[in-house]
Amino acid sequence: MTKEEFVKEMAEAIMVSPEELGPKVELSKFEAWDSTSVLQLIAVLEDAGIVIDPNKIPDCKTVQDVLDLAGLK
Amino acid sequence: MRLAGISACVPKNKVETSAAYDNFKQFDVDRIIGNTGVKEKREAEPGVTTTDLCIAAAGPLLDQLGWERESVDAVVLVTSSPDYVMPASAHVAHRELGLSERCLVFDVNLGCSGFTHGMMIVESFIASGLVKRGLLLCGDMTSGTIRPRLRECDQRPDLANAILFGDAGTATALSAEGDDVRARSFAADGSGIKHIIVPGGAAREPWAPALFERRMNEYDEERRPIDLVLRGPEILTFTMKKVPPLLRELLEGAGWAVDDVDSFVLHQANRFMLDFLAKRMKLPKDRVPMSIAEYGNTSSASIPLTMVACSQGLMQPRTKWVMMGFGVGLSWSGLAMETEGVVSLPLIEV
Repeated sequence: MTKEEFVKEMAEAIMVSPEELGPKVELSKFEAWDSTSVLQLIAVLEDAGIVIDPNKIPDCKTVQDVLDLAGLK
Repeated sequence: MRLAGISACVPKNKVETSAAYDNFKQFDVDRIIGNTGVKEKREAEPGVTTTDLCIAAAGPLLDQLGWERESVDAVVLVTSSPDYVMPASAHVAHRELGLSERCLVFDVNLGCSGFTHGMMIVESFIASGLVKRGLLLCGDMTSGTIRPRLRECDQRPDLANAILFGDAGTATALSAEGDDVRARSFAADGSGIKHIIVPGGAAREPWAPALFERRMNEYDEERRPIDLVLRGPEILTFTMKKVPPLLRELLEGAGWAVDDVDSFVLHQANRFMLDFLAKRMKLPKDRVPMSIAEYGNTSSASIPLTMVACSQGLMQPRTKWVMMGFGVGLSWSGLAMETEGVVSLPLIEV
């Protein structure tokens, strides 16, 4: 899975357009950055064979933090 | 062991999950309903217990089967919401159903894997020759105890639990007169104890006024110790990791392919997880029955409730089932069964 593909999925999960998800954008500004979107992202990554530690998701403050956690360059 | 009969009972009181709109942001409620898929569920009136629902399911089933009360020699009741600290709820059911003294009676404290674990427990007693006819009662009724009733929910962290869980009791009649089980599997991982837990109210944190005070937990959620903690991300990860191999093991054990199976009855955890698992395991959607939209997650009752609510047409003909439960413990288990002529009652409402 490429970074761009993941950002597209992420945008769908938090109900915004991919253009709004620049690397430094703070996730807390999005109303739909919640437990539901977290589950969707875990499932998307799992489908792509990328396993992340769910305990580390709350530490992700920005889009880049999530990309780093998923190991997507 | 033969699956002789099955029945399920739910409270008449139907609650639309959108009823939570009054207290919460519609956006939050819509997100939770969209994710869990729970459009409505049943909540028992105060004073009604899991055991009452199980008894209401079991009595008519015994009558329909024509089983003399004296012929039942085991009652295993699986629940995480018993009537009393002691004695076990199974004893209440044993008394109310008028069963004989020569009966093995006990509770099992389990949730979502409770039905499949319970089936294996009763099967073991039957295989040993100790038991000829057993009743497996599975139910949970957490409204008003470890989670708030939907209408009484006023805190955001409780909202998801209030929407997700419904009340139900079931009865499964199992006999030594046949051999329906083709494969079985069970497992546990105690490292996930805290992912589904009610931390207060038992020996680790005994009853005290402090149990009703909200405090921050390790997940930065403000909860009371008597509230149910349900860690979605960890549970999803666990489920994705453990359930597909469980299916493979059961299919291999039974010598079946996916196409051979008539119905894959999964614990009704939530809609999102069921859809994900069905897709991951490449199961045809029309063979994965779902009752979550109408009854919510009913914990140990969810597999038999789903069979009764969605699969009446499969009870009489020869049918191949794969049943899989997964959840609190963490624990997971499953059975592959081939049944025919199962006595099944329409869903009972009390």
